[in-house]
Amino acid sequence: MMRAVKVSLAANIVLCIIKAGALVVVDSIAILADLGISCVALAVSVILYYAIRISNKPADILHNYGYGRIENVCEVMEGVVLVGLALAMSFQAIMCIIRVEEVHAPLVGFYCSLVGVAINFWGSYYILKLARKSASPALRAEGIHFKLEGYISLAITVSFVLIILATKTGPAGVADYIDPVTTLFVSALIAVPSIRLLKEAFIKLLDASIEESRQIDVVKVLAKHIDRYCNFKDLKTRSAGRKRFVDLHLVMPEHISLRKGHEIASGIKNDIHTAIAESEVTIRMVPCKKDCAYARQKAKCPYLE
Amino acid sequence: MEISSRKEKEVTVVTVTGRIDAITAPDFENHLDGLIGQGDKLLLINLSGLGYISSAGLRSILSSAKKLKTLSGELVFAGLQGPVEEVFQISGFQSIFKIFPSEGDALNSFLKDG
Repeated sequence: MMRAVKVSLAANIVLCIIKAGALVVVDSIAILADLGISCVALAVSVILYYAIRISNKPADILHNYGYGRIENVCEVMEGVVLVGLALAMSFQAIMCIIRVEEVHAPLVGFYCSLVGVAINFWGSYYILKLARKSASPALRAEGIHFKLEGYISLAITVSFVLIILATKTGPAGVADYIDPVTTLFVSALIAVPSIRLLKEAFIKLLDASIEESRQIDVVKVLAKHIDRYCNFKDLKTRSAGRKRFVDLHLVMPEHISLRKGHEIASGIKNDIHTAIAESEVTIRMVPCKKDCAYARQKAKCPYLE
Repeated sequence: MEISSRKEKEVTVVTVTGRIDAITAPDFENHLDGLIGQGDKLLLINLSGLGYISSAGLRSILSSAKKLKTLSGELVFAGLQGPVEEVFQISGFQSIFKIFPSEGDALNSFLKDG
């Protein structure tokens, strides 16, 4: 995971240098906005680096459930920053439509943006692959960020092509509007997925249950052990960063030995651990109320065998 | 979700349509518990009209099945289709519950078993 964060840091540094250089030469609002995104992305990568280091720390006396939630906080930060950037870019673009300025050296802008496209999409592919492997929400947000930057750079690349063509063949003055209009389009491009990312991140911060597929894994384990307990209840799940927490009450016969009960609970716990990576399972054993048919008929309890 | 039940000799046929998710699962479980509470031991759940079942629905089924087991009762299913059938496969329910292609097949099986 730290490898993915280092790749993110390195890629963002390279992108900032390329875009800063392009801005000096080209003087384009779209490149200024793109540079702004990369600078913020670099800052977020630095924060992500420390966040992942902290989230990897084991649980201790001050944080009994570990430090995983810091990744969810990072996810929220990414979302807020991206939405804020979209708004700032839109404002700048509208101002540039009102006060039109000519773009210089669009060919330089084209090549710089093209390099940005390659770096961003490669970075996104690499980081998302590692995010899936480690189930890290912060890395996933970073991967999505890179992908969005890739689309932004692609839009800017296309806009420079249009500027070059419009300058050569189009009506006078049209080329000057392509840059801010592209920036507006790019703002919309990042706003929609960013709002979705922010919404998902907030839901996780509010102790939402784990993903449906992981909940089915828990049910699968309970079904596998169906003949070993009287019943189960109060199944609760939540996530913090990469960690998944599963709590449940297991109803066991009143007179079952502690050893036997522990053995059954451990079997269920181990199977849930196997099914759900980075899970912490708490099983509380609750004595039965002896109100089942076996007790009423004074038959032998099948769960004591 | 819509749920209804009727008696076919000793078998209580419960027909569920719509979807069983986190919101409707408690109603589904309460309905089954109500039937178990009034002494119905043979429950046939017809899911041919069910479009979706979530983990909450599966939990309800498991919990009700455990209660029924203490009465030496049985819970069987019929008419599973599409995503519901897939969820039953993924969760391993197909190996612990009897599942029939149709309500008729399930009722015939109960009658044959006496």
